[in-house]
Amino acid sequence: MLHLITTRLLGAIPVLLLVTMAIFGLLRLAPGDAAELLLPDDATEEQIAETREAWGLDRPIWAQYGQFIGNLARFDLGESYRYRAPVFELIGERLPATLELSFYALVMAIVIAVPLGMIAALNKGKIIDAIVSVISISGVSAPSFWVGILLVLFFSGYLNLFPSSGRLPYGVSVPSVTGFVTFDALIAGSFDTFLQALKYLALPALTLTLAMIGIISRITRAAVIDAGQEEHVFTAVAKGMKRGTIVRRHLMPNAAIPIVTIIGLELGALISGSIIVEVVFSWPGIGTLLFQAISVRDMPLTTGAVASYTILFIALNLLIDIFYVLIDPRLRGHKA
Amino acid sequence: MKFDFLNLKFIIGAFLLGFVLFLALFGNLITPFTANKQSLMDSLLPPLSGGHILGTDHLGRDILARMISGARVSLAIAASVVVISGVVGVIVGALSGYLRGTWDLVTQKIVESFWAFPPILLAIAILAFFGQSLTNVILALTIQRWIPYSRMSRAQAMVLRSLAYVESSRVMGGGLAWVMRRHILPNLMASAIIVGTFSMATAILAEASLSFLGLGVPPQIATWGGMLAEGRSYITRAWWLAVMPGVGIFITVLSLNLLGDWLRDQYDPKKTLNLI
Amino acid sequence: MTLSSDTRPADGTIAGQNAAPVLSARNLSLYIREGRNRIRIVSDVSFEIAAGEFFALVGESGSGKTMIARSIMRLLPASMLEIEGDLEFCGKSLTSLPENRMRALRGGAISMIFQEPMTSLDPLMPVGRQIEETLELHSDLNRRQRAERIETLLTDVRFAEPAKVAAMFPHELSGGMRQRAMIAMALANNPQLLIADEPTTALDVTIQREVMEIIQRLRRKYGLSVLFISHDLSLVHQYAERVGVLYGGVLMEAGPERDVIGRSAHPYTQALLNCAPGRRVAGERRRGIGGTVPSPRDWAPGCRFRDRCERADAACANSEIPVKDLSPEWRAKCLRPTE
Repeated sequence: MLHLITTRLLGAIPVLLLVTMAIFGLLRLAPGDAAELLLPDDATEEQIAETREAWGLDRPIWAQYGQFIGNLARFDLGESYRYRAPVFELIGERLPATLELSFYALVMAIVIAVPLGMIAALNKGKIIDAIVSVISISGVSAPSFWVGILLVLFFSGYLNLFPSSGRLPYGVSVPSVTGFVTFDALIAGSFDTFLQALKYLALPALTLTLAMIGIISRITRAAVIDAGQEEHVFTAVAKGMKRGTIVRRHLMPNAAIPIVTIIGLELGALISGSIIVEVVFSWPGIGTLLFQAISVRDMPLTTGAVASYTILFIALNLLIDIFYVLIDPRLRGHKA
Repeated sequence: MKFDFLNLKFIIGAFLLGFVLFLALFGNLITPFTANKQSLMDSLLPPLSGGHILGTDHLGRDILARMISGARVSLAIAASVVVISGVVGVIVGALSGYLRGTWDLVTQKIVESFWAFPPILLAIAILAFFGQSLTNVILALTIQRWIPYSRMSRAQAMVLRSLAYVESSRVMGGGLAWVMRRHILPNLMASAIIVGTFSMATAILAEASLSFLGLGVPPQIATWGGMLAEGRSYITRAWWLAVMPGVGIFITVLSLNLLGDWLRDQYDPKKTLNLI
Repeated sequence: MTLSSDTRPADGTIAGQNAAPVLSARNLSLYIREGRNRIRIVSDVSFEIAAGEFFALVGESGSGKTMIARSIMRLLPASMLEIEGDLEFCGKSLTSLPENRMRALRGGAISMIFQEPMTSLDPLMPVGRQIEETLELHSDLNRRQRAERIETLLTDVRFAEPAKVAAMFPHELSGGMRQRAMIAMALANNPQLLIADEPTTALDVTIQREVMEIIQRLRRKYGLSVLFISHDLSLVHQYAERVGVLYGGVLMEAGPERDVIGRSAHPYTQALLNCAPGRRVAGERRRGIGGTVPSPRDWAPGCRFRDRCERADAACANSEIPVKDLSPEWRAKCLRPTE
């Protein structure tokens, strides 16, 4: 297990270098630079040149990249041009919001979609299977930003039930322990704030959940059908075991492996979905941060945000690998 | 290969896609308005009023005319993306699987690195840095979309190269181009078409997302994503502004997913599961 | 729960012919449902298995032998497989048994082992735990008694270190070891009938012998009846007491092994024996059977083997073929069997 984690983390280093290099390359190729974009329109040529020098933009791109890597090794991602604050801090502030939103959405999606897919698979060809198919194919076909807007229209426009943007009402805050506002509110003992935080979470989380339900229920259905055709399921029937017990003890554990594999392959799509949902609901996570950073060519911030998404991506894939080893004895090596 | 055309997935999918195609090609015959014709007097008219079947937006532009423009843009971009990425992906993957060795090693590394980016990040970065244009949207969407084709083709080419008839063709002196054209590429077509159908669906979604974020197609061209972004601010006063373009995206993507599902079912060997 | 064991001979020897049959199939026909249609895959098959008897059902793939084995325990849902005719276990009809009573028999009084030991065990569960599951379902042993029983069973199938094997996962065992573990699982609740569906086909020849010897020894020890499904005539010759030969879902010939294999009467059995390795007369060329098994979709009236039969004539095509008794226990479904 330790071996797996270390090889994975070491393997992530070249990927990170490549990703950051690509971002640097793109920025270099792109017309216009941050100094021009960020300074007021009436700034003089001299002011622009000064700013360029201060940010190192006048130096060759490879020198800029070298410095970036050198700083990275010291956990320093530089300073954001726009916010005039260390990128590391900015990301540290925003990351919990992204994680909190994704956490709730993923948990809801799994709780809803896995049983849906299972029911469809176990009733293959019947009406209920067709209904689940319609739900899941609609789920993967509806653009999440549109679903988000419809939810806003209905739940905040007509019903006035949930707020349509932000994380907490203006002026309300909780001492940060975990970074998850809902958890922190409970730790601080403020149940009111907890409920408020949930209300703010409701629409973005639901939008993200709906986007995932389609994918996850489809995967689950296919995996359960495949697992049901394995010989050992026959063995279990021949033992005199009830259908429900077979599903619980033999079918689901075996179906879990392909389900997790494909969720892993879809992680990229899920992260993309979360960026868009953050922008739609002005959720203060790294998605919106990145979006703002890109639009003003805030190079350190852009590179930092992209790098943190890549690290998140690698970390989630590592979690999936660890899950495999826990569930599948074939990967644990021989005892004999 | 016998196709089962009486399948519900095929019928609904083909009908919806046919409808969108019809709108894109002949939509101009239905509405007298053009996509960018402003008329502030007629702003925010609800559907079925003043001769506007789907109503008008905040600048009094006809929603139906803009929807038709959106359909054209979406389909044209998605089709270009799918064709370019399909050709690149299948060739790269087939060569990897057939040649193995260094070529395979290098392309696998490239595939891995491209895959380390969540797809939309790279597209956002390219469009933000290089500016909005149709070509840049196509580039941004193609840059990762060839990967699924190449993975599929690589796996299948590896199987194909070891088949007796392909091997004999090679031993008999068939050159690389000959073997690829005669034996490898034709066998990849079916899977490539299935991957392509689903890929077209996600390309339409991605283009709409980018245009929605204001990074995709330039704003002077009406797109579904752009219309949604504009209509968002009027959501409580004029729901049709944001709802209509969403419906357009939804039915187009849905039709492609249905057709993709149907195609995959047709080729699925599990259908003929032998019970005896 | 197991059925009362008093139908079994107390001395553990092979039962005489006059004991009540453990399993009897009468005019058994099986249909597979395909949408609105149903396809007949087994027609009108009758046979009996006496207590303690080793009965072999022989046939090429597609002959319906596996479906017969699966229909006995009703392993396939009624929506897929339809059963007509009668199947009786110790005098009780299996076809009309409610599902919960059927479930009590599966893995209890009737148990089964399969062809593919590599895939018949759940890869994610230790072997001992999988055996324990059958004990939980059919006995009221407590945890410690179950552990002891698992050790006994694994020792019975010749594992030197039963406790260690019980803790292992299927992928840690070889094919032969897995099949032995499957046998231990099948015997967990002292069944009266063991259905073995090509249990050795996937194994090496030397391991085949080992597994067969274990089945044979345990059959003697516990007075077990065995329904052995196979296409391997040399194994059938060696172990079976009575044999049924299936072709295209029809029982062509059935009787004592010394008759059916020793001096077969049906042209199909003869052809099958002719192409079996190791059974040809020196100097004579081994012959295959010309043509292929007809698919259930293409079945026509008359004898199904006639297209491949050297003795066939016009009469074989248009009449219902009678079953001829060649001796009180030996019969063949053929217009002109040799005697």
